[in-house]
Amino acid sequence: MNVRLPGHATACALLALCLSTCARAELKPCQSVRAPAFTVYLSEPAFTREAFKTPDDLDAFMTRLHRQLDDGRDRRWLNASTTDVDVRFVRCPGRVPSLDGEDFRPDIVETMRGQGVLLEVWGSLDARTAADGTRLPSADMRFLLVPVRFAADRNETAAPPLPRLDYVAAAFSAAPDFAALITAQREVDAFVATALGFKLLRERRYELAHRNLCLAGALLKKIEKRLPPGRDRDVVVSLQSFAQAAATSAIQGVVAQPPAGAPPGTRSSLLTLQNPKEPCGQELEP
Amino acid sequence: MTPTVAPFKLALVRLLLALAAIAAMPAYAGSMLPCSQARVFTGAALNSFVLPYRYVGERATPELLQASRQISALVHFEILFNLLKYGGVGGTDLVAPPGEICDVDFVVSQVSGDKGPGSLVNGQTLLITWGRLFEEGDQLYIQSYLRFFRQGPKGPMPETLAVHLAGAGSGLNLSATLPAQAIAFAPRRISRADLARVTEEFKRAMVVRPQKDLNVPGQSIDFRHEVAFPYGVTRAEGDWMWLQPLTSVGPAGWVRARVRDSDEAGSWSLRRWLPELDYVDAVASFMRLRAGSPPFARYSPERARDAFDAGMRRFEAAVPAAEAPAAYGLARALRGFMQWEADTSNEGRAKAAELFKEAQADMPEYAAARNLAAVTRPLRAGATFDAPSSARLGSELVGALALAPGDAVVLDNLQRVYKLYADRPQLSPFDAREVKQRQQVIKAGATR
Repeated sequence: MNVRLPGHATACALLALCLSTCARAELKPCQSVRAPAFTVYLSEPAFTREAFKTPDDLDAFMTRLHRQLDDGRDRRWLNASTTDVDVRFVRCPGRVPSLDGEDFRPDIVETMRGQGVLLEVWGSLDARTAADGTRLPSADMRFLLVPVRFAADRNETAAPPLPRLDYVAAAFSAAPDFAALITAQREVDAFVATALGFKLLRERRYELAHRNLCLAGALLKKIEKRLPPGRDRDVVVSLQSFAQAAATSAIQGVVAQPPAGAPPGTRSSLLTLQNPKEPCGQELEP
Repeated sequence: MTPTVAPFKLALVRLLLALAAIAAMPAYAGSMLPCSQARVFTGAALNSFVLPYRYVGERATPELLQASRQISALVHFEILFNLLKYGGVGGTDLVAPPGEICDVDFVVSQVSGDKGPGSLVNGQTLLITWGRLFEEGDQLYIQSYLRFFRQGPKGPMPETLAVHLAGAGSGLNLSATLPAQAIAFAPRRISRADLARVTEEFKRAMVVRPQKDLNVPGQSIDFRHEVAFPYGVTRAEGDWMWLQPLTSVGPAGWVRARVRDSDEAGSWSLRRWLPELDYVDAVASFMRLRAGSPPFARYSPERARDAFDAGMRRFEAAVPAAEAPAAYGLARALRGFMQWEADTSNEGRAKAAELFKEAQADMPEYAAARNLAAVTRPLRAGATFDAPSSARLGSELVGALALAPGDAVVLDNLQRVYKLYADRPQLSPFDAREVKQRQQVIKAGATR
């Protein structure tokens, strides 16, 4: 069964089956890591009995998801740190945002932004058993890009502030677990890069912003290719456009801000090689 | 404290006693060392280090710590027995004292810094495998990482292709590296019971024999993950190696390296749970081939290609492309490099360029993948290097730079392209003033 939650009504119908219900939704505070590191909140998802038999099972899953995602040391050893910025994942026990994101009032988003939170991840988890006995998990995940939502609350951007994506086990060869389902395609990396790039852009750290926004664009493009036409794909395409526009702004920012003491038009940054119309360079030919 | 502490100290004593013997060991060898004393085998063209699969969690029970040590030891043996077929190999199981972390960067600096015996010399190659272990209920999750490099005159050097583009009355010499020389694999699940069974069956299967005949009864290696077992392979005849322990512990005898798919030793193999070990084997074949310059014996390109294909075939049978795009992309790039070296005809170059294009599609977020595909695009079947192609090359390289502004290879390529634009304005999409400015920006960027 391909469990999808196309709308709020369906989501709440599913939640009626949950151990965690809509009525229980609440936004407990969560601990951020200290600056200069940035934080990603891993909040608790709603879940069905088919997903987890007990809250302890959910707890074990969340612990492992956290361990799996928070792999900064190993990324550095891979020489794969693409951001030059330390991003840490934090588990938020008992924090269960509502699926529609209405808990995220502007004051809450502002506080999160002030604490260096880039992204919050939550959603709902379900599972079914196939005819051959295989357990097939599914997840309907939500991603709050905090700096983007903060700007949207001030009407400074029209970006989609709350991407949601459905994950179904049918796309996998073998029955995956929830963590594999959620992490395999690197959406979290793409959203972190988008949020970080946008935050750095607002802080006028144009070169690092541009790099992250182009990384986000490349990851989002890859995600888009595997999605069928529909809501999820539209969200990803929309975010790609957003990241591209922000990358253009980074180039324009560097051009408008020549090195101290240099006359206007002086070019020193490598960013000035980029074309604002194709801010991350030309796509390779198919 | 854990039950492994006392054996660990005992192991250290044994290791230190055996250290002198290890340093002088031949080109086929395996050992176990503390991370702080990491050293490669001097005569080995291809070295493998397995660093600890460390438990990442707050409840570090003795059982979990033992499991992590057990996995590291099994991975070491698994990789080593796969590598033996390449000849000129050394494998070391690096261990960390309890509570300490074995730092990959530190280990690399230890062996690549020209610090005398035990350090890599020019042309020697090293594969480093490490991992993490976490648990969920009765299941263990194992995540593996791989990093590989060849030692250059001044330290680790990237694998590089020299690309010559001819056309439009001009020639252009560019370079490209692999998209990455390190990769993270997805976590794999194994139950505690299965891990125990793997260990037991591994012990039974690892048998040394008095003669080179699988039908001759042999003696099992006394594999104990918590005890050091330094040994060397002192003779090699065909696929058979003579395994000689360097201490009084363990039996000596012939063991057959795994050469063919059919040599898979059955259900004991950890590869059944960790298909990335097949990937490591394939990368090892590539690196063994790259370590072909004196004093290291050149390995047969055909055999390397066969081994590469066999390893990747097993990996790809176990892991679909959608679940490991970066691993698939890197595999395509490695294939492309082998193709590039093996066939210098236009057709050979076109095939390699096609593989690089596919690699880039799998790894669009990697600057080096974009660079590799961009500089070889004019070599694809039906492509030419003309004015539009020249303009496109510059734009694509700027795209690679967007992902990694400090990439020296991309910067150097761009500088060469802009020089071409300056020398042959008919190939340039920019006027002379813009080209000059771009050259200055690149020059400033390259020196930062």
